[in-house]
Amino acid sequence: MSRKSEEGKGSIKRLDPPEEERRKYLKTVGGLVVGLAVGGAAGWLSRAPETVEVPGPTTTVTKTVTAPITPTPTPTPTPTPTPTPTTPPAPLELNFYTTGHSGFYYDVGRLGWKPIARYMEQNPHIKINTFVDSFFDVYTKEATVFAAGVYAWDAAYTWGAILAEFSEHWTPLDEMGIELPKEVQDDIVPYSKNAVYWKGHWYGLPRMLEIFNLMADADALDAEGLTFPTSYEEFLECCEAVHDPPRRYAFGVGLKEGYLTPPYLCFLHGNGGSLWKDDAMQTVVPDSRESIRAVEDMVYVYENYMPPAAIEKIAFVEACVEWWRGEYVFGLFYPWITMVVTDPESKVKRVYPWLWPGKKGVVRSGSEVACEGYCIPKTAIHKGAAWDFIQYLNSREVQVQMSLNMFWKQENEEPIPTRWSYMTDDRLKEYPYNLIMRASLAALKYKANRYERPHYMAYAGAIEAEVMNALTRKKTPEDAMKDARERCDEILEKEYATYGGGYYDPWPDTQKYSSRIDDLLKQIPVEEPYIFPE
Amino acid sequence: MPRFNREVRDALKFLLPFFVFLGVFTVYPIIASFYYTLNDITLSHLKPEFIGIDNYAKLFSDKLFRQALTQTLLYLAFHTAVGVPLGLGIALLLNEEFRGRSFARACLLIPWSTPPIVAALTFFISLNPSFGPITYALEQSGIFPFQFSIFGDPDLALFGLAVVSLWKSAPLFAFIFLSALQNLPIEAVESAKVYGASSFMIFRKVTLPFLKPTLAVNCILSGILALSGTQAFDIVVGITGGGPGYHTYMLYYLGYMTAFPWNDLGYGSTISYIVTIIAVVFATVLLKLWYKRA
Amino acid sequence: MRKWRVKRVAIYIGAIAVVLFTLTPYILMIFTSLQREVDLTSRPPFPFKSVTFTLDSYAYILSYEPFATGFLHSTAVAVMTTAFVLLAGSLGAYAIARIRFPGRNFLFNMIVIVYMLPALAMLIPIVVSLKILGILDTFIGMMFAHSIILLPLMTWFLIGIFASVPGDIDEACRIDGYSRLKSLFKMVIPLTKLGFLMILVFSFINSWNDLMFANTVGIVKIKLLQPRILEFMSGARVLYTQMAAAGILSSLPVVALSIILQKQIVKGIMRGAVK
Repeated sequence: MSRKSEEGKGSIKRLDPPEEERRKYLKTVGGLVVGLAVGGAAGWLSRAPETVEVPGPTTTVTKTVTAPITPTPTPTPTPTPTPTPTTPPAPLELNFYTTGHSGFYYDVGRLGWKPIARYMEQNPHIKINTFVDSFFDVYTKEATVFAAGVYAWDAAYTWGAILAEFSEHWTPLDEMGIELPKEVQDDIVPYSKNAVYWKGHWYGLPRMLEIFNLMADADALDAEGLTFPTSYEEFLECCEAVHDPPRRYAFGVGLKEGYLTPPYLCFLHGNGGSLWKDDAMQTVVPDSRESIRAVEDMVYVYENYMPPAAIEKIAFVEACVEWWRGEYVFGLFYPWITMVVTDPESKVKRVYPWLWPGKKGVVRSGSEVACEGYCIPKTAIHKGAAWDFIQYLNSREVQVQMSLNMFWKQENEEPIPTRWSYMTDDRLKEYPYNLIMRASLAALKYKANRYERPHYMAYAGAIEAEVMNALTRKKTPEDAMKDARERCDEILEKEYATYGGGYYDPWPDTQKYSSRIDDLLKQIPVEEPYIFPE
Repeated sequence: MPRFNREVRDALKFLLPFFVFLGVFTVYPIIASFYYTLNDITLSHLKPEFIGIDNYAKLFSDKLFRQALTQTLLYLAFHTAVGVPLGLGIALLLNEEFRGRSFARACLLIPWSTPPIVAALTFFISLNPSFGPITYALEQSGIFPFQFSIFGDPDLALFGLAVVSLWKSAPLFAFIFLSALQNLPIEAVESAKVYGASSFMIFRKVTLPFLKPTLAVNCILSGILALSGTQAFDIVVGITGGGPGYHTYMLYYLGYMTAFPWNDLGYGSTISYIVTIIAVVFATVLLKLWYKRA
Repeated sequence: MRKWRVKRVAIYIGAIAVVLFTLTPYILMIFTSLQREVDLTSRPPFPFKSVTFTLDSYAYILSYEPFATGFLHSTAVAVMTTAFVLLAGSLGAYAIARIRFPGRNFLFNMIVIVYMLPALAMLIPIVVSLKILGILDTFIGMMFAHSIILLPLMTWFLIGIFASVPGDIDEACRIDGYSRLKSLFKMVIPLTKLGFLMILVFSFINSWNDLMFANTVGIVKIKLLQPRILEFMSGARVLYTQMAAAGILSSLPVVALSIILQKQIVKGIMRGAVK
């Protein structure tokens, strides 16, 4: 008995005998029921342990920050000291949310030093559940979680824009009765404050600090008899001397949108420019004279000294492999690509990392800095424990270990420590970390704002798109940046109406640390060839 | 009369789960999201401020919206005008008898079932100007310049995305056409052959009219996919992120960026509604055309 | 005779082109996942140079716990979503296809419109509804979220599929004493088994591939698979080979499902997928 008409022939469909029907009916319905059951069972089996929603926790914390600011002589991990409890602490679970590029999530760190695992060993009653999302998703995820107002995490990832925009959803430390001692506040690099400090309140502690440097293949420069450029003009001369495509390009950096703002800021600051004005609204001015010049410089460098493919390279992702193969002489990025010297297979044997030079007579250097931190959402349950954990992540041992984890390939964004007092840890004085620390410290003496403010993402999107239009010669730099200014003005209006200006600018504070930076530089030894004019 | 009531009662019983579900999860979100479009509201604060039709008025003066609209319509046109006929061609081809036909048919399902992010990444790598195998091969052939970029070129990027989405869609259309072709009444084809009609005539007079409904379905599907499906969003996210310089911004992606990273939920929702309006218009026009001929 | 031969050759060339067209990107992806990153991102690319292949990326992904969890959760959600959509959808589609009730045509047109609604704009209200019902970040909640888009579309397809079965068959069942429900399950669905299969595959694939709800409805308890692939792509960091391996592994179930069922599906379904 055919069950269906044979292919292409319009014969009448025959009905099955009752037995067949029953079987088919049972099969179909049974299949559906089984499907639901299996799905439900799998789901039930793999569910995370239930967490009880506790409305509005009001834990007041009596512990104060006690992370030492003087260097400890022995590099053994110091657990955050807690007042000795009279009864064993009740077991608790902390939910910890971070991005995929942060080292804390990398419990597969190359050096095998696993910060979260260690914390759990030291505190056996605490279980930390780590949740990771790509940086692209973090924003949407935190936004929807805060909008829904549910408990999700006790300690969560922040950087300047997220903190500012969602400030009402994070718990200020003073609300928890915590006051950061002055020594600690002074010990934190001001650029790192953006990630955890908003309108007079502290919300957490920073986890990373990175600053753009210019890196050069030392042997390539030496072979041409060139010294490391101390001005932008000298830099162009060096490029001209070493540029030899397609065997070797003078300059390598990724220019794809999404990560175009950092190099742009380097060029901007190197021209003596500033992204926002010092007026009441802190107006964003991508069409300033300095900014237009910066974009013109970028177009010139791209067309003359970079491979055409750079337009599609994401930051330094692919560029780092070409750097490792000796195809670039100069690189502009976070200084961990200096670590290429630790890889015997690298074609680059020695690296000179130093300042991105500014225009002669204008400014010595200009850079860009990135920082991230961890704060405590309002809906967190174990706020006290979260604060302990955040302090641990900012402790000397953890910060130094994460820095030691730097690698020339971008597995994760490993940084330099966020505290001045950690930067001269003995382990960071060893080659090649000493080069990285010195280059970063020197760069910190110059303007490197990331200009984080509530609508940073919108501004960055607008500016990057127009810089790209200039790079692809769709518009002249001037027209492009004027269009960028138009959009920025629209964004500014809304931002000011909601947040009222007064966003923290770390540069004025950072300037006060100039002499301290000089002290630190003196404390980090370096060999002769690696001493550059400051 | 009693019979009528029983019918209606039956219908209601059957439709109950359907209605309940959609009522809870569609009606409220539609009303709420429409309400957002009439307000100034951000995700970070969720405190609506009524502004009437200001968001809609803003659409007219927004340069980026106009650019995204143009790009969306181009994309939609290309996706449908090229994708659907391509699908038809593939279906006709795979309807012929030849060895390995089942294998070829099975292959049709791979683009469709590949997760969009995976598809996007594949093309991003394969067409990378620096190390993509396809671009390298084209370069070596001498026709294309050194390290030529598709997704980094403002004029080519949208076209590149359209090709990627075609890869995902055309096999799906082919599949639907192929399934419909199985029911093509053989007698009509046989009798046409007896009367001496050429293959082409058979196609025009027998196959094509038979496929008209399927054609309409595929066109509507193409429209929806190109406007708000994975072809519109995931592929843009995975490859160009709207770049270079806004040249691959499409309305759905613009709606997302506006609502989320740029934190203007009201205006972003408005843009998303425009996408819906375009989809409805597109489908309505297509259905009207189809009804007229049928 | 020659014309026939030319046609045969043309058919084979066309078929090979189709196979290459559909398979090449996927195969390139497989090769990407088997390379080392330093080989992948340098010129000339494979296959223009010889590379050492390695399974390291796969080892990494398979030992990466969130990936395994994601696989499990995505499977659970996809299965549940498919079952729910098929059940609710076939009931609703049957009513619309068979029973004449007031508002029937209006409902039919409305269903298609729902599919075209801006899911993005509705995202936040959906999240809020789920939260109010207490099912945010649960399997049921995720199932509902996925069904919001799928249910209308699948019902629309099912209406067409059911409409292709002549009404006399139903009448015959009713006369024999079956209720409408029974006649649906015993008669109509088995006759349209193949169309049903296609809906099943379609629902599963769409639920599996979802990104939007995966990240917003799934917070800490529900971790779906697709966002895990994106993890390897950051603003500044892209682990291509790991992403490729994750992508291949995550596409295996849906690709396998489609291929296994393709024979059944192609053999004469979508009979009147349009009314």
